[in-house]
Amino acid sequence: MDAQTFAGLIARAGDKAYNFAYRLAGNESDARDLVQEAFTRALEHAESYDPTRPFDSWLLRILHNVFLDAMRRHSHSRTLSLDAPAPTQESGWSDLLPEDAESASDELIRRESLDLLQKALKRLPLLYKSAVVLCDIEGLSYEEIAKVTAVPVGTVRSRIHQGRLLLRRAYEELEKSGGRVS
Amino acid sequence: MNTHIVGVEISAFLDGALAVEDRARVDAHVSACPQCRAELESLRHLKLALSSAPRRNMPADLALELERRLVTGARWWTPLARPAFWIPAGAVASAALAVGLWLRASAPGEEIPLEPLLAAHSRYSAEALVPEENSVAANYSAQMTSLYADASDSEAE
Amino acid sequence: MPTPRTARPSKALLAALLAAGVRAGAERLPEPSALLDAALAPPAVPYQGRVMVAQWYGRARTGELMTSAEEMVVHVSPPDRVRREFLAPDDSVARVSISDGDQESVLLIRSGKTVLGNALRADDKVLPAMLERETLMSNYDLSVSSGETVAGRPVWRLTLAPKVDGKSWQTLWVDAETKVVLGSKRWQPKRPFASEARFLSFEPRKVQDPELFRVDDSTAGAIQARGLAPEFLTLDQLRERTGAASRLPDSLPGGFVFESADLFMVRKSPIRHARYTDGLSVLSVFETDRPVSLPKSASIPAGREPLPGPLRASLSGKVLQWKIGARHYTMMGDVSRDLMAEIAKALP
Repeated sequence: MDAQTFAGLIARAGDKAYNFAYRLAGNESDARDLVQEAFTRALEHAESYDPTRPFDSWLLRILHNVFLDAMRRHSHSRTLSLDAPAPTQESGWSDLLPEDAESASDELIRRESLDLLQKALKRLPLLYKSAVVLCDIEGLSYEEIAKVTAVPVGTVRSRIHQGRLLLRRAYEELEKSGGRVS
Repeated sequence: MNTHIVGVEISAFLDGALAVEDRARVDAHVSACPQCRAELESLRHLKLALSSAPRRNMPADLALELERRLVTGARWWTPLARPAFWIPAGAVASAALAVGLWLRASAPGEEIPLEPLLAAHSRYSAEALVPEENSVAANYSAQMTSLYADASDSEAE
Repeated sequence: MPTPRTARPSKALLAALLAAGVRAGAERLPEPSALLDAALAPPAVPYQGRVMVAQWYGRARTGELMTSAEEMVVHVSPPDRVRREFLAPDDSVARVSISDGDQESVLLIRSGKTVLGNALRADDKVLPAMLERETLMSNYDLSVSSGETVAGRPVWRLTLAPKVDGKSWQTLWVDAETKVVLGSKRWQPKRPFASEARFLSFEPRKVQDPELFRVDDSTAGAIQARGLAPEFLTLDQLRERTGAASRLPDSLPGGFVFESADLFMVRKSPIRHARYTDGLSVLSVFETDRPVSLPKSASIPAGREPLPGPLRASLSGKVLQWKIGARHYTMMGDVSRDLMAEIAKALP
């Protein structure tokens, strides 16, 4: 594939990539960094893209990997491993929701612009978040999600479901506390 | 109803990801079971909220910046390549030159240099559970030096 | 009580736990795995000091030991900011590496060049910390002793002895007060390979000047070394990316397990880098479609096991190279030549 065509593919997928990055990262600044990094990696690995396969999934996969790497680097403030197994009882769910690290003043600013759902999404452990975002926001099929996140379809199924349960709980907690960090 | 629908199946049902026979079974159960129906509706509500969240388009300045990079090829270089093939950040290379460098392969029979592999292993050593932080940092930064330095850096007195 | 998932519990907490285990006035030694956890946790206090690093990396053709030594001045600020000034033999600064936890830079003094990349972080793990720790405990025996000092300070000596022949031993000298690792040595019995780092002077501080750790990514001519940002792929992901049925296995003899893989290009040749760990020692196996050039040191002769290809020493460890059909393998690690030969045999 020549450079021109590749450039065209990237340009067209830009908005989709940014939207995915934004939902994963939760804010514009991090989303921009994610997209920049993913873009660089896509260019570097351009030769490994197989033109017979969908470009969007390939690019989203790169973005997802970049996001995972970035999360590992910043994970010292979180008390959670990336791939925490599902707790067997309802009471175990609270272990999986990390405390929001925002300060009070950040909170005041953000409450104006961020909706509750995005905030709840932010609290999801990231592998659940990716699955839910790709399913419900990007509208990918389970098979496509399996390709992007490089796990079997069975894992995708359980992550989507558990992700939804966690999201719902986080949302309810946020609603109850009036959107304020508990 | 003794047995309810397993949670994972409710989500899969919602996403149209169930096999035909399973879909029929879940459908039948949900019509008759208020609890499962309530759960299905709750998750459907959540899914709807997410899917109707406003889409974020790429900020215009970011799009411009990425486009500029595509055109100038300022980043079109291979990681850990030897300095001779590296384009300094900020230098504007012509698109043709960038593409040419991108496509340039080693001459047939030419060996792969060992140094980038040593650096990759060294970096991995630095991330080991029991890192010899200072030893490894010394090696690793020395390797970065040898990869990126020019003659003046390694001149001994 | 929720299951702890933190990879690195705070030193303060562990110090308290350790202190509780050591009665005042009694010569009671800390429990080895607790001491290990305390030593590996991020530092509780800022500190600075001077460190000597020495390496023994085999013998020259003439039979003499090959050694290298370097001194550095280190400044550390919790949890993850580090500045290292590497000194030339005359004590002038030759290069400076700074990590602010996020980015890392290496500043080359003479040319003024800066190389930038993502910070080296021991938290960048694919293998969950608990599994890696289990792997370590299953491959090593731990023991603790006391009565020594490093940089004039009382330390505990923690020894990790391999259960399998042909692997390196590791000793950590842990400061009794701050739990910082003041000395560390890795060596192989009866072999001329070892590396050691030791604080010559050590000073805990109340605060460190944040300017010391500022990574300056704005200098014109700063080089973005993308090679400092590897990927962490699973074997499946690696196979998918290369479209090849890679023959890299998920475990190797000697207690090594696959950790993660990276894929990068050098002069348009794809390099498949598989990383293996036994909890302490790490091995890299590089799979390429073209030969890789040899290290410039002398060949190491085979021991009891025949070698499939040339074995040479380098500062990053031993390098063994061989070929199977059209695939070329380059393995790097600090295990014995016999263990390397045995591991090479296990690669299909």
